Amino acid sequence: MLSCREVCEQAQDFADGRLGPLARARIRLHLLMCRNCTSFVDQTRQTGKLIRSTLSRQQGSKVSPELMAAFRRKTGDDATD
Amino acid sequence: MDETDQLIVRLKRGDEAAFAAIYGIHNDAMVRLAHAITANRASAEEIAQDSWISIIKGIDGFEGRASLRNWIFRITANKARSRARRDGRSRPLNAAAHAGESLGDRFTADGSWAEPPALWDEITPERILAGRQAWQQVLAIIDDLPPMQQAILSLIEGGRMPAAEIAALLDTSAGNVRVQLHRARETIRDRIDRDLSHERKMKKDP
Ligand SMILES: [Zn+2]
Repeated sequence: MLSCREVCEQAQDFADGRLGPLARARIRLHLLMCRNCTSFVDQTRQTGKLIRSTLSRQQGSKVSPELMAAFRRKTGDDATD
Repeated sequence: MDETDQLIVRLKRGDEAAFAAIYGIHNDAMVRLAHAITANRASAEEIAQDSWISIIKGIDGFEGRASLRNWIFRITANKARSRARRDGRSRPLNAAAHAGESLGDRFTADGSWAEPPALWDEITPERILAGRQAWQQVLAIIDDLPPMQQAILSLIEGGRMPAAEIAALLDTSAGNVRVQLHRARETIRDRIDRDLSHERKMKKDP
């Protein structure tokens, strides 16, 4: 029987689906009987979702006018080759 | 031709929307990568801008043998490394650590809970933090992490880059990348948990 600490150490790999069938089964068995670890694993999953949605919001920063001008210059040069 | 190939063709043609799209997807992770290598946030911004200039110049020569993403981050890592050398900074990598370490003193010696976690299920973080916008709070926590962890988080969670590719960029092992990723996520989970318990207490007796 896994201890709570052992379950939580593997919580991220469990949530990421990186564990083999046996390790997964042992954790599931523990979770059936332990509310605290169930909360922990659930927090781990929700944290992953929050991180991904936060970082995808960060993906949208705008190109500075200087940089866009450099891009325009470069491709403009090519056109006159 | 897949989506990235099309993007490359459009870039070579001078399509500004394609350039803006690629910039939007990668710039934040490039800044964090440069920050991790140079340990200097201000020069990290410059290095990212400088990398974009090189990317613009080199796009004609890029033939898509390597992935575009890999090429972009390699340029950034190389620039950051020579900048760090020039500034006399060679940043020691975070020592590899045991993954369970960050769980701290939440457990007793026999591995059972000393400080049980709060239940998040009825009041999800999104809901409780909605007033203050959960993502701003999470972003503040991410910005507080050691730069190496920020870079790894951003490349894996934001960019879906495999750990081995990140390890090559940061000159470390894939195992260390995963350990740092675990630490970063666990720090964020722990901070949210504390913020939520605090907020609940405030609601009970304001
Ligand atoms: Zn347990």
